[in-house]
Amino acid sequence: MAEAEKKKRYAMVVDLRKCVGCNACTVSCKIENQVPEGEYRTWVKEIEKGTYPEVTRYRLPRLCNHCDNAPCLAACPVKATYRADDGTILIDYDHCIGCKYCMAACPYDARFVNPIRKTAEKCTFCYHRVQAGLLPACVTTCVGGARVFGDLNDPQSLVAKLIANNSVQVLKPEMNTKPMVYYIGADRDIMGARYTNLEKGVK
Amino acid sequence: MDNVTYLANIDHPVQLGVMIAIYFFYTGLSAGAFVLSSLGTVFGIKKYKSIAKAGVVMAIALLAIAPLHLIGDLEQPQRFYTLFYRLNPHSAISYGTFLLTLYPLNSVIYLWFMMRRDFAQGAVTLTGFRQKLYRFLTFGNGDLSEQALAKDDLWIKRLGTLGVPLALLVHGYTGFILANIQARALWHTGLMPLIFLMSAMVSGTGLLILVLILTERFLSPEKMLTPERKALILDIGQLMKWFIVVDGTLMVIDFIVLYYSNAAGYAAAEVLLHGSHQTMFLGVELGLGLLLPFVLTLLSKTKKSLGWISLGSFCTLIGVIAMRVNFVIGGQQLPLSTDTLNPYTAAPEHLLMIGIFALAEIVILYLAFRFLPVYGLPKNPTASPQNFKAGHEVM
Amino acid sequence: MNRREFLKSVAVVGSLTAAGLGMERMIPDVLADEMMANPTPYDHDALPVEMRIDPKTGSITLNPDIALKASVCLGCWSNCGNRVKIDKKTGKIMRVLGNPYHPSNAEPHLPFKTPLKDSYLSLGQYQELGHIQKATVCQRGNAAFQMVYDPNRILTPLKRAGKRGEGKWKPITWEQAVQETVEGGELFKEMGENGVIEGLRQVHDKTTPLNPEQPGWGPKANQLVFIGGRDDGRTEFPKRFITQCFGSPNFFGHGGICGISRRVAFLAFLDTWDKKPHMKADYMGSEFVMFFGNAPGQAGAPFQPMARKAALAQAEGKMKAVIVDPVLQNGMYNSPNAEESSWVPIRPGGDGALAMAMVRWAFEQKKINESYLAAPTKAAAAKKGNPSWTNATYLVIQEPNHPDFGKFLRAEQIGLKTPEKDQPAAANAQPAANAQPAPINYVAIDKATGNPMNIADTNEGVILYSGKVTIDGQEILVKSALQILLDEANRFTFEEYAEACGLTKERIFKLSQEFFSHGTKAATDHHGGVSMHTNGFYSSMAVIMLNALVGNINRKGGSTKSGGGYIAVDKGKRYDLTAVPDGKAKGFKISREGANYEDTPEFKARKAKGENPYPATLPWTPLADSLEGHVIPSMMAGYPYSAKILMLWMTNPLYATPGLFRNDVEDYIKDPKNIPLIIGVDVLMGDSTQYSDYIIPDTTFYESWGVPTVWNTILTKANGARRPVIEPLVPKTKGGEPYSLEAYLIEVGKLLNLPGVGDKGIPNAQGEAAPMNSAADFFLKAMANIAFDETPVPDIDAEELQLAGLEEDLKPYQSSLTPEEWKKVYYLLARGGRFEDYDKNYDGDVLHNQFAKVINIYNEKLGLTRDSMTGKQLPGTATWQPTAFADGRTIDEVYPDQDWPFQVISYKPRYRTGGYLSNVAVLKDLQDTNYIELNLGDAAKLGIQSGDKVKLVTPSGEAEGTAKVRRGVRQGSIAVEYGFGHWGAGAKSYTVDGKEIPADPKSGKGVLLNLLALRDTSMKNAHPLVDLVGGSADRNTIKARLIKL
Ligand SMILES: Nc1nc2c(c(=O)[nH]1)N[C@H]1C(S)=C(S)[C@@H](COP(=O)(O)OP(=O)(O)OC[C@H]3O[C@@H](n4cnc5c(=O)[nH]c(N)nc54)[C@H](O)[C@@H]3O)O[C@H]1N2
Ligand SMILES: Nc1nc2c(c(=O)[nH]1)N[C@H]1C(S)=C(S)[C@@H](COP(=O)(O)OP(=O)(O)OC[C@H]3O[C@@H](n4cnc5c(=O)[nH]c(N)nc54)[C@H](O)[C@@H]3O)O[C@H]1N2
Ligand code: SF4
Ligand code: SF4
Ligand code: SF4
Ligand code: SF4
Ligand code: SF4
Ligand SMILES: [Mo]
Repeated sequence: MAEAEKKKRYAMVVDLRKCVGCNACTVSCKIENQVPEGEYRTWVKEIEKGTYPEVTRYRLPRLCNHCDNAPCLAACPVKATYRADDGTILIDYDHCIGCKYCMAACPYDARFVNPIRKTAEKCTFCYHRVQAGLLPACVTTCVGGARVFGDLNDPQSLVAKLIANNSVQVLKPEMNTKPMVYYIGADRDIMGARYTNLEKGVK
Repeated sequence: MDNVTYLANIDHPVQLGVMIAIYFFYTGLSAGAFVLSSLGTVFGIKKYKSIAKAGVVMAIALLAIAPLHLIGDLEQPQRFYTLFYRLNPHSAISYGTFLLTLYPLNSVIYLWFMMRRDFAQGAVTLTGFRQKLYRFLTFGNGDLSEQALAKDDLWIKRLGTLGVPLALLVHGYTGFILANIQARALWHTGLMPLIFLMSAMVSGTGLLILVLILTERFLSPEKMLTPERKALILDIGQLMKWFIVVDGTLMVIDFIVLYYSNAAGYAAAEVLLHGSHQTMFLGVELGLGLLLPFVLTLLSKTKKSLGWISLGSFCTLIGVIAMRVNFVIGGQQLPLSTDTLNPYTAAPEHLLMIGIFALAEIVILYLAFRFLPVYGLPKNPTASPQNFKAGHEVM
Repeated sequence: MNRREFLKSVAVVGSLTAAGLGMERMIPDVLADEMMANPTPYDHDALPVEMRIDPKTGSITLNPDIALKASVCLGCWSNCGNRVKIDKKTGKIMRVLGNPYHPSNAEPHLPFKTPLKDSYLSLGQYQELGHIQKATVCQRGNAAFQMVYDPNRILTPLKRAGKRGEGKWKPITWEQAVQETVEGGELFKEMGENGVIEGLRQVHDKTTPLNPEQPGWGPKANQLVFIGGRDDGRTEFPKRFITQCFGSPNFFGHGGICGISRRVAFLAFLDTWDKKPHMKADYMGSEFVMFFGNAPGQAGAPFQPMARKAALAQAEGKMKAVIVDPVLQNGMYNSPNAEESSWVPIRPGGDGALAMAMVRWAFEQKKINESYLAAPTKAAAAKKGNPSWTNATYLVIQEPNHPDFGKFLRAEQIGLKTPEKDQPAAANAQPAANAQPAPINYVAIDKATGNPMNIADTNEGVILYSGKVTIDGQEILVKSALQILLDEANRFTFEEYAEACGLTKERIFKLSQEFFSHGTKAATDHHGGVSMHTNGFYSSMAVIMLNALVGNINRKGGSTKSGGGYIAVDKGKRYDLTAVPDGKAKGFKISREGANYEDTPEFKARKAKGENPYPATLPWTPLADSLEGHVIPSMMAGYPYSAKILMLWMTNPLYATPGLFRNDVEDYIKDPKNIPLIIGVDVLMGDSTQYSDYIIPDTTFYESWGVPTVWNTILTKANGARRPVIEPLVPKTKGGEPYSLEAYLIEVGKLLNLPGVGDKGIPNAQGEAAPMNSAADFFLKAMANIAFDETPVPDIDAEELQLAGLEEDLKPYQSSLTPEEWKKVYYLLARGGRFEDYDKNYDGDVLHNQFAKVINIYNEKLGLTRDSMTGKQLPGTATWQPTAFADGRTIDEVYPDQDWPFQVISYKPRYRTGGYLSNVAVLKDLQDTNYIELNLGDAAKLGIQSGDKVKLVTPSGEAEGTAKVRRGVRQGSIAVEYGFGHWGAGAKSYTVDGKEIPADPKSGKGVLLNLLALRDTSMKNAHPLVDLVGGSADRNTIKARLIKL
């Protein structure tokens, strides 16, 4: 029983050694969540790195980190952004006023305005599926099996084990947002923004 | 040297756009104007008393329009009222909601006490529409006794004293809206609220000067810039000079620190100083908006010329608009996960709204200065120059 | 449990969780009932869940409003399985999920006998089964269903109401479409095109020769030409109809533009020309795989399992991937400490040089698997514990001008005794592969004695031998097969090889070193990259040969012929789907394939006239088949003959064939005098279909029947089974069949009363006639064959039948099968096919499903085949040939680098499949155009930056595009993603009954390289540049200039 009582804390591990860059996740998310044209709750960033011919390609699937210390949550003036008690950060579309302050506050570009619903939107960790005991759409269709989803508070869960037994990274740890999306084998040059072009003054 | 090329990624357009920048501009003007008006009433600097009313009228008129930009920028404007009861103690905007209500309220009452005497006098000395209006505006308190007037002055002082921090907060909080956001390197500095305040003072003074010149010349009972008025305006010009100095200094400090902060901070500084925003920042915001007015208020020739000063004042307005745009939009253009500036294109409907709101602002200011006794009561056939003077003395 | 209860069951959990942080407000009252329309308060727009799985008990509660139906994907040609999530109320497809029983969706896949309900657990959190048993579909597989609902989908028959290709159409009735195309007549009189057009009835003439002077070409019936691109599991139907029922040999798949040279190379390597086996590497078991092109994660057939296996093999297994490709594609997931990138930026067309250099290196460094190669027979190999054997030691007659030059030496020729009994086939060999030719008494030099011996009598042959034997008193030069390979390898120096493949000698040596240092756990993989060149065949041979030299065939981690499928459209346990009374086509194929030029009437005529019969008017490709790209050039040349009726189905030859579509071809197609009748069967106004006279609507893959097999790489046997999972959007014929290719052909067949269609169309195993009146009739019978093959599958039980909802769906088709067949076919349909269990992958360290015949280092059939241009015999083994025109001049001679500094290649689109899926909204949203991709260094020289407009100029044309500057493109190469630059398929507006169907601005963007690809200017007639041996149309040897605009 005590087991059952224990609070859940959902998290995702993206094992980049298995990410084939197919974007099945991106497409399934758009279809499952009816994400409008031109908007993405998840996407896969890709870079090429090295000096020819010593070049390698890296991938980084991106989505909301469901931060434990979420700036978007703090920013929302009407508490439309809220945290479900399993840790998932959600948006109450019936109360979002669309001030977009959360988008300015999110260090991860995770949010966007849904042009049809006219509210903020982002990855929900497929809350509606997870509630029904299913897995998020992007996880279920992940061709390489890179995306793993589960309860961090359950030491027996795959996510917990992966995090325990691998060196994992999160995006922008210095922001102290405590992201709940963990990466295995992410290349440092793909994890953040790249300013070189800007500094060169490219207009 | 760079050894990375981006293959695939998605755009993240800027979300808080020109509406927010202009909103910040308005609140800044309002706060600036109010502080100046308080110099006479609260800080007891005699010579500024004569512009106290003008300052407050401006402060109110500007703040009446400012929030419209906020609401207009909402994706769900019809839900704006929920801001009043779905509070989030962590969100600067939540606080702003209340500041934005309290501050104008306070200012209105404050203004009423300043004008009650004129209303009361006008209610008896004037005729026609004004008389009716003023009688109504006395709200039944026509008492012109010494004690009554003394009581007014006391309230004026009290409310003014409350008003100053409110004004500073109203504008300070906009600074916090940005400063609180760690994600945006350009915003995330303790200086942000101060920078916003000083630029507010600069632009506030700038607009005040312009408004005074215009209204005193055309809408004051005397319909002229009396020598003492001219002197006062030039004097305010000198005030503006000092605001500019402080504002400029803060900017310099901010950028020095940016250069020593993390990669994002460094990039932010680069973008503004060397990158795509160079002209908007160095040219318009600093050059046109601060340097030129500073010079004009410095040189012995120009600082004595109303013409040059009003030009300088006008430039500060342009400069501060540029500053709001550079920081609000520029701050978000700096990429968080890509290798190019985040795209921004102002929505046409937003530009339209801004235009309409600006017109409304001018109308309100005109009406206020036209019909309220900002510069005392108009001469009327019965009233002698003396009691006109008297009418002036009280301030 | 009814709908309402289900709502509650989910609603409750919902409210519980949201009850945290005083969020009750977040759950609108509508919740309980709106659950379906609005599954959660958290996400109004998300799809309703298909079921609820208790995370603790695993108990499943189905959403009664939703159906999950097993089907097969056709997002690309890989034919993965899937499960289609359908809204029962609207009957519409909501989403597509993977099928955990299907080896292309899951690694490992579920045991076939797993109860259907348990298979649903692969969606849930319960015991992490959602991860362990996860079944996926790829980016295109997720999205492809949207093409079913393409607003511009063609749903009624169309007849052109303007000139061909003018884009003016009028809808006609199904009956009129059938009637006019069958009976012909003055079909376009109203447009002033008088002149009688022959219909299918007139053309169906199997006696009158199409060419009275040279009757050998075959009867008039051959002038019906059918191009059907995609093998989607339906292809066997039209193939049977055209080649057997109607009796024209001219049925074409898209092989010729889809890597055919590689396939033909495998046929030679495996010396199996009937069934068409080919091999891939077993990633999961291997330590080192060299991908020559074919990057797993880029494209590949099958895309999904290749990508997944490659990733898992690198992440969890021991595999290291090296990708030999002018473009750095996905597929290598280097360990963070890899000291060098595994990308090998090869010069396009240089794979043969690289591979032959590696062959030479292996010989020089004594790294070849001598013990393996020395075993001349299965028995000898078995003694050494080897699961395969080669003809490396077999002696080949190499005496110049000897009548038997190129033939294997036969024991009897040198008076050796011949054995009495022949070798038995492998226990677990394929029935097909089992059908071995009568044993030939090949000869090898016995290692022990040094004498020539019948291979049956020696266990250890000499692998490198060159010497003389005496045949009827004459000294004849013979060489062992491996010696011939060595001699070919030695024809060039390492410097020459390095030059040809654009790599340094050092890199070549390093690669060789690594490849030959993993024993039998190193293998090669390749596809279009290597084969779509004029040298595609021999380069493929060279790449394949590396596997023989390490001896990895049939080994875990080596080369696998894959599991293959069960007996389906064939002579099966229940029905014989091959037998059609006098269903044999006569004469030659219009594509000049599958027959020796020497057997053609032209050759004979010219020979008779005493003139030199070489070169042939246009080249012949005796070893290859399905040369779609040769068909239209043949028609234009009228050689070997022209066509009267062209049928297009599931194909887009004008778009997809490199070097074909130009003004001359468009003019030819547009003029009805050339091809009097063009019938397109399509779901959209395709680039090619738009030149039709009649367009017949068709069912999409979610509305049709099919028995798709899986592409190689799956080690276990697999057969997909597809049935309509939704009510077809197309209307139905009077007979109740949805408008479709099958319905059309059957009606045609009945009108012409062709054999093999109608009530007695298909004989069952007992030889009794069974009906063939619908697609269902045909494919259900094929499924019965699958279900009953080997040990038949179990009968379906009541619960599964109810779960899968098959009974009500398939009521209309009950007559197609017997009740006992239904029980098993239901079982198979519920699982989306029949799949051998995962534990059948390996038997210890060897593969369970093995190739059971001798591996050909030297192929006799190849060595005896003559080049129809020169008359010379072809090399019988791998060799290096630079890319060249038919007359032998190399591409670089004719288009030297100083004028044409770049070589352009194309690669498969990530969000499309060839020209297909361009009408899928969600994919178009992800990418709606392609780029001219070039290397950073080259770009710097030309002052080009990403986003710049550039002009690509090739010897055959030019196109403007947008530059994309990359590190991962070889210097001197340019890459253009395939699948864009349409001029039909939504890119052009057209009218139906005067009503305009507007073009979509998002369609038609980008550059189609095929319009710039080379033609073989050495030929008299317009002809794409092709591989004369393998038949591929060359799409990767395009010389070019790039100009900044
Ligand atoms: N995403 C996606 N997947 C697909 C398809 C699709 O359209 N899209 N199509 C399916 C089909 S029909 C097929 S046939 C398969 C084809 O699978 P592949 O043959 O693997 O795919 P291609 O992109 O045709 O070619 C593979 C690679 O060859 C490289 N290449 C070009 N020229 C050369 C060369 O001279 N040498 C070498 N070594 N490499 C070269 C290209 O850069 C490309 O990366 O893919 C299937 N899978
Ligand atoms: N430059 C370049 N050229 C290439 C390639 C390349 O990589 N680069 N790849 C080559 C390869 S590997 C291949 S396989 C070919 C692919 O070329 P094709 O074999 O022509 O296949 P698709 O391009 O997919 O076109 C199939 C057509 O069938 C039609 N169609 C789609 N769905 C249906 C349906 O349900 N029913 C019917 N009746 N019709 C349908 C559509 O009009 C579609 O255009 O392209 C080849 N051409
Ligand atoms: S990633 Fe952004 S949106 Fe998601 S929780 Fe963190 S801050 Fe909020
Ligand atoms: S946009 Fe919506 S969710 Fe974001 S802060 Fe504003 S109200 Fe909250
Ligand atoms: S968890 Fe759901 S919402 Fe989030 S990215 Fe995956 S599919 Fe999209
Ligand atoms: S689906 Fe999985 S493998 Fe494919 S891109 Fe997304 S994360 Fe990577
Ligand atoms: S690989 Fe091809 S067949 Fe398989 S899921 Fe993807 S698109 Fe469908
Ligand atoms: Mo293909």
